[in-house]
Amino acid sequence: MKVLALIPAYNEEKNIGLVVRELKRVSPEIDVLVINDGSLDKTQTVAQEAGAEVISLPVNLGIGGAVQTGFLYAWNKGYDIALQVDGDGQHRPDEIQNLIQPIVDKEVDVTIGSRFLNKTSYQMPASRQIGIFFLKKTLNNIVRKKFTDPTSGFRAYNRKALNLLCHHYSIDYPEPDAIVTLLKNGLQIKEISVEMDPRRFGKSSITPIKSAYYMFKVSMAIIFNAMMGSTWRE
Amino acid sequence: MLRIQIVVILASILVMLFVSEKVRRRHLAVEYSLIWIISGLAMLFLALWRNSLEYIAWIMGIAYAPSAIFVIFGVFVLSLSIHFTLMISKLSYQNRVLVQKVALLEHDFALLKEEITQHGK
Repeated sequence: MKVLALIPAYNEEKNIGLVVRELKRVSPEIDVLVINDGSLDKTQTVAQEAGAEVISLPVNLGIGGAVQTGFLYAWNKGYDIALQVDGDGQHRPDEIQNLIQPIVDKEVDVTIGSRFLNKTSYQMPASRQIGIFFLKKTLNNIVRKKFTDPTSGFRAYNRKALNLLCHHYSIDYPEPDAIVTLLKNGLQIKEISVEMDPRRFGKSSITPIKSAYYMFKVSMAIIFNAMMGSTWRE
Repeated sequence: MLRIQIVVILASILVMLFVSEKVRRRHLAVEYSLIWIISGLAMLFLALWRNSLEYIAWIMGIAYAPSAIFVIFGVFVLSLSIHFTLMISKLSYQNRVLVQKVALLEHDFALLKEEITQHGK
């Protein structure tokens, strides 16, 4: 099984080196691709020196565009499994095998690493917790399933999922929206309990205000996506 | 129910159906369809509850309630236009970056082809 770890990164020069090296140390058989989303700092050089392939977008597209670039790369180069990892060091490389195994076993098409499936030590500021709670309730009511961590970017996809997401992936709020897209097209998703660390250096690009606005916009968008979904076939 | 209410209700429903179909056929991106759906719902709301229009007019200090519709509509169109100019600015910038990148890549590519054909000789 050819596996690609894809890491979207925007101004992560302080974290990306460590993330890439840890990944290569724990899972040397996995290829690492960093998608540099128009960073203004030395993200590209740091990532290259750490041993990753780097694709540098000429313009900042946002998380959706960067990750989708990774999907396109994985699809075109014939990878069997694409693994999405955050560039800020929150995702632990030792959890990778747990995430990939169900796909290798052909149990499901996509796995999502959840911080909340079992009680983990992960802490989050209250404003984000409220937002995620509201979002989670909206999503779960629409898709009639029980997702515990819909905004988690720690995910693994098989080729069937890649084929779909290469063509349909939201720029602004891809993680929960993609769940709707995948389910509407009959793909199987499973959540896997994982431990995550807090971000090490730098600041998240999501502020509390952005957080509230983001949660509202995402909720509206996934409602709409779900309504359209049933008549939405290629 | 007044006839005008029925007309507006029908119009709102038609607008929303039109937008939904455009989204389904992938002509309208989901992100931008939201504003139209919300507008359609707002129109529906105003049509169903007559008093809401009088109330809004009173809050804005407008004596003749139907005038409030034009004010609301004016503000809505203005905001939409501003939103479009913002979008266009961003797209223009991204477009320019792409054009330049393509031009530079083509140039490098031509040089590379030259080198390869030179090596072949």
